[in-house]
Amino acid sequence: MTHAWHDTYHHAKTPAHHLDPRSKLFVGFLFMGFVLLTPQLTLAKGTAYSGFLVVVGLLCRVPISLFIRRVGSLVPFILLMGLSAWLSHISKDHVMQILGKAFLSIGAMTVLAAVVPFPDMLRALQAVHVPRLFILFLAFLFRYGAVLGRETLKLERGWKARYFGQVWRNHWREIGHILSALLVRSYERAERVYAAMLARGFSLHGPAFHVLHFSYWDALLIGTSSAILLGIHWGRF
Amino acid sequence: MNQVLQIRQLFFRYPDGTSALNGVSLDVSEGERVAVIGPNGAGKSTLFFHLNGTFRGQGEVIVLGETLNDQTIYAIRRQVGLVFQDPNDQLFMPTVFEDVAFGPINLGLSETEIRDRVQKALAQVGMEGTEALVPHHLSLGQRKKVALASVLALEPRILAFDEPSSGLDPRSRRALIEFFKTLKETILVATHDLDLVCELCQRAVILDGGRIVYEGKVPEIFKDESLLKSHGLEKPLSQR
Amino acid sequence: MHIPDGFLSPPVWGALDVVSGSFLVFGLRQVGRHVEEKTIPLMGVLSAFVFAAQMVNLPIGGGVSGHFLGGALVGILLGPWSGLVIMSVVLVVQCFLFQDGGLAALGANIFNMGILGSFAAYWLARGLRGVMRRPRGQFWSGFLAAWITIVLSVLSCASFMSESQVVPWSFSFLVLGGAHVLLGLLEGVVTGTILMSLTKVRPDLLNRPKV
Repeated sequence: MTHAWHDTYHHAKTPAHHLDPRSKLFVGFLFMGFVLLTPQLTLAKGTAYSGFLVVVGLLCRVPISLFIRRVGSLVPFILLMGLSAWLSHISKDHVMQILGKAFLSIGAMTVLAAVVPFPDMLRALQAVHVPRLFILFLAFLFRYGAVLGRETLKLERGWKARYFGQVWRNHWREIGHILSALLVRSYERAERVYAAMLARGFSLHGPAFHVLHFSYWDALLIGTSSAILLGIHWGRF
Repeated sequence: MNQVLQIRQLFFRYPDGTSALNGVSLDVSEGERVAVIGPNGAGKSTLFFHLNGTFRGQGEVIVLGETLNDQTIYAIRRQVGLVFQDPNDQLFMPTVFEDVAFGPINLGLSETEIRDRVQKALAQVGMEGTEALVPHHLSLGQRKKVALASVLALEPRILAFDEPSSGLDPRSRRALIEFFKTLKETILVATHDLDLVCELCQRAVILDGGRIVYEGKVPEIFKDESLLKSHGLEKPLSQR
Repeated sequence: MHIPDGFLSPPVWGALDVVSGSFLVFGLRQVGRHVEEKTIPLMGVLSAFVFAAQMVNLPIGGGVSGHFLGGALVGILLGPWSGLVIMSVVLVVQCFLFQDGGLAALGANIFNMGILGSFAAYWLARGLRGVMRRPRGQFWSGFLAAWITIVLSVLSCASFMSESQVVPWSFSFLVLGGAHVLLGLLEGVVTGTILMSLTKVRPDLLNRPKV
């Protein structure tokens, strides 16, 4: 598995983890909106935004190793852009703009994901009236991604135990067979899950349950962060 | 005695044509603990899926005096709690709280009642304080307990367990048996764990090829070794 | 192919967010209206399947490895709108939990891998299956549909990046397109093999109603 199933934040307990997920998401999206919509990200502004991000990240105790791992997904795009800049002389400033925005937004998403546990995000989505069907699918993926990921790993091990270095073309085929075994298992699992849902009275249009509570602390968070971000955005430096 | 469950001549065929139940009849009285034993593929799980109308075969299922049909199915589902073999199938919500609350929410209970039921059910299985946890962070034994709590939260009068002790280490298995003893509900258990049957159940039925081939008191049913052998079973260790 | 934030210009990601968002809303409505209730957990579990399948690394040679994407497969199995919804669910979770693909770029990623991915594959496979009627046709129609879809998706990805003036079109066309003509073979072989083995194990799954 290339991804560790990252939801270790349950063990971190900072004040940020007790806030309403809606306010955290709002601040996160505001930050990314400002960064991405800034036409000219000067060095000073870039530094100010990163400063904000670093302070929040430290307060919420987001491990720096996590950020470094996440930045990895930028590498192919940076390579592609670097290669083409080298061939066709895109201005250095333009490249720096793009890199700055890319790093800041991936940093913001890392912090956001670390302080908003996924189940909380689903509750926030429910509170802002995202269709229930979509939330159900997201919840299923969150729940069964981990289960099927583990199952895939087992199937892959079972296959490796009988792999003696055949050529790659057969390898792809065999992976196809592993995945089709996994697919059939997924269908069967879905049937059992449906049975379990029915047994507990599921209906798509049934009642929903809201557990979010907006507090003064949330208002404080939104107020101060918005003020800081607006300051950076409109500030003349 | 008061019959809480009556099954009359139940037949069921899967869509692909395999017949799974061939005329099963079974009566269970209030507060009784009945074991359903038999080889793999005998139809135990299929039978259990009929108890709350997940599968609908030919024949009659009568729960608490009501015949299962389109009108009574939802009322009956509340009364029959089915605990699946693999808790991963049963725990489909992102957190323990949401999973245990799933049934009560669908019953349309008020917020305080829902919280009450969740707390009570989790306390009953010894999993208090795990509400915010994610099921895939729990061990198998813990997941089984939460799955049980998710059913108990509906406060059913009949509980049906499919292979409750499979995959558990001896300590968790012991805890499970002790827990079962505290339950006052009518219980059906489908299992290969015959020692568990000896400790827990008053009566056992042997299901093979979709038919009840033998029915008797525990532990007398385990005396006839050739009967057990012919249905893929073995004399439990505690009876040797 | 998961485009991160920063690599697309605001007009490009903004427009694509609107387009993909509308497609997704309409797709959810289609699914809610035309799909049986029991298909709801199925689509949820299949999105988990796609997610898990994408974790399997496949060696391509020379130390490079790729992975299966799955958009074509779910499109062919469940139909274009369901496929679009499933892929969007996967992309949202990958964006949020793993920062794989940007938030503002979600629209672009859903467009490439969800909309193009499942619609193109569905119609291609359907058309090809009409021509290739022999049993092996199941493999070849799936193979070609998945392969062509991957190339289409990556070309659309390249066009977004050149429209954003990140890389020139001719360059991204050659590099990304060229690489994915090869990578798409992997998607094709895996998709075809899965479809082919389903005809043997569970042919009923291939003939479900498609939405």
